[in-house]
Amino acid sequence: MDSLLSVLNALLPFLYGGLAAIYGVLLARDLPWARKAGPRLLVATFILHLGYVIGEGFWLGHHPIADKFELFSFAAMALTGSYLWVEWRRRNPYTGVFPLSLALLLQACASLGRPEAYEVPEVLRNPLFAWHSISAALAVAALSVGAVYGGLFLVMYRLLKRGDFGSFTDRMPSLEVLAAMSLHAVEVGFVFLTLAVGLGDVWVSRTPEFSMADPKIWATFVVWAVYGVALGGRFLGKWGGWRVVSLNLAGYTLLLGSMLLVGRVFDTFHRFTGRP
Amino acid sequence: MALSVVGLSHHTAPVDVRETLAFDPEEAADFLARGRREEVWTEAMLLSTCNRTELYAAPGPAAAGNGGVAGRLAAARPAVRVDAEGLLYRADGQGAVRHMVRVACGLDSMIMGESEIMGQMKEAHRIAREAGTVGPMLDRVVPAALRISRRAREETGIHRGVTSVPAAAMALAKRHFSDFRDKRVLVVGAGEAGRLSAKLFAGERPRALWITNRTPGRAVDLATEVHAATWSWHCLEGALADVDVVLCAVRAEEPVLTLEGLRAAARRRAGRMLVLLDIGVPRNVDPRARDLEGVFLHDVDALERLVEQNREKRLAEVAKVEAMIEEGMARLLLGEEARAAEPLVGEIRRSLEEIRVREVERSLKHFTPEQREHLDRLTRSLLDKAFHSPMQAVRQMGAEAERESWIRRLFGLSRGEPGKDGRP
Repeated sequence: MDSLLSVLNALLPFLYGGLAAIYGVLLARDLPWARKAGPRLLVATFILHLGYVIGEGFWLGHHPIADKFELFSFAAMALTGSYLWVEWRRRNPYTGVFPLSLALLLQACASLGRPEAYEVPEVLRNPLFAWHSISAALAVAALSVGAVYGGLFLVMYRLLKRGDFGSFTDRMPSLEVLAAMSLHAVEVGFVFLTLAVGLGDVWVSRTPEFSMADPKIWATFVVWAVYGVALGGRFLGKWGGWRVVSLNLAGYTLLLGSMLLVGRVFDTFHRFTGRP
Repeated sequence: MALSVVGLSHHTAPVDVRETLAFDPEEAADFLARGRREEVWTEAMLLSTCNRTELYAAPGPAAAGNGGVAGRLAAARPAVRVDAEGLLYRADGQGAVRHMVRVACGLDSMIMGESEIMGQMKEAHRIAREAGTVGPMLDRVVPAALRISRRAREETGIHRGVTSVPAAAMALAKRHFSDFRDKRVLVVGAGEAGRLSAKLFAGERPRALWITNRTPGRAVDLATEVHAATWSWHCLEGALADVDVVLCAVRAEEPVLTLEGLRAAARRRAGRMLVLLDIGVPRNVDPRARDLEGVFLHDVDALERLVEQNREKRLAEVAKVEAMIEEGMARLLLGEEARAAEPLVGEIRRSLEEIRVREVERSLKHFTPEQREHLDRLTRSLLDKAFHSPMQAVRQMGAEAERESWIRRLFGLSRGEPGKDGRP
């Protein structure tokens, strides 16, 4: 079983690389073979990835996310699943290269960093922590989808403002659809983020090893607030796409910052695993 | 192939002549049936659109006496001497088939690659069938032409992209909004461009479609025509806070939508998208409006640039479509040659069978009844296998006169019918 998981771990980045390449060809050249091959490989990759995550959970005897590399892998899978749903709903495969490149990046980090074996500390076997980490991974995936489509919205916005009517604007969904895709993903991500923050706080209050003074928790509150303002402006102030998307992208930048910078600068947080 | 085409199109005749030679469906059916009755043609189909009138026909025995197929078409409208003035073109055999396929693919159309012609050709085929002038040849050639056209549209970009300014305005609006059912559209101007645009937007079933014009009566007429409502010209800028798309097509020396009015509207809209499509010349919208948040302004230059881009893209696809046409033609002609060679193949087979039967009968006395049956089966199978490839080759060679003469000599057939003893 372990060797099968190792093979899948090594294979997944290549599958995501292949997907990103095929969807890149689709956007640039719109070739018929890419139109057929892309969605098929996408479904196959998602199923394999799902199998990998479940298999690893069973094999290692813990819930799917007990390590930041597992978080990356889970987020890559959730991102792929979200994109699969988007492609099925919108019948437009031309945006695939963007979320799938992000999934490639996440999975490459996950595959490279996957430890040979490690012990999961008892404190992380708490079910509350499991729900917290799964919610956090789903939030990251959904907010990443929101950021990808938000970024595409801003690029399209600029191109159309400039009167650039090349094949890129021709193949992308309309501005309104891009804004809606971004907003829906952010709504879902915000719900999971709220859940992750709430469950995390409850868990931290019950666990003496961690404290509410952790900078990551405060950084996450700031991210949550920025997304909250964007969604509030959208629903209460009837703000248009450009404002909401810009705020969402600011929130995502802070989210990445909190994941990468805070974790690097302050070493007090989320050292969940028994790894050094 | 005994197919000819005679006709005129936008390449050869001005619009007034094309109008005169146009046929409505009833006239076309009557014209085709009369020609068939008088044996001017054995099969015929008339393709009559606003850009062409073409008669595809297999000439009949009486064709020569009526000035040919061309003479019959010219005689249908004696007011215009289309034949004498050299407006008619003509092609025969493969040339006629190739012309039909190119027309079906939209390569001969005024707007390169337009798709409407496919439906028009299907309709012409249906009318001809109802008139009783479709025979096996047109039943093979027309579906083949439509098949090639469908393939060209599926596999190339020959029909992609809009090619008129109002359609380009609609296409650009769709890059901002994909669904107009919850959108409000305002059309400013009730002239020809405004009318065409209003019709296009009405087809998208927007939540509200308003027409406004300096002369209210014309706005009311257009609104009635497209099932829209009217908006007061004097409150034009008041609409800007609520509408999603504004199409301007009026002749005015000064912009009808000013920067101040649009700025006030943009503030009230809080970043919600407002798409301004300005197809008026001089421009109807202050060009500085494009800098406002959430406001997208596309003027006639931008729209014409889009149209030109699409035309160039279509032209770039022509070579691919031509290659598909040649491939399709080769397949079609191969089928036609095989069909034409079928009588000759039949003759050869009959001749070989006669030889086989004669030789078997000559040897029958040496065999028992059971053995005779085996012998009969054996020789038949031998003949089938030995001559399968030569027969295929004959089908591929077709029935061209010189080749047929060689094949007859090769198989010992006399001209017209097989030799009695299987020898020339």
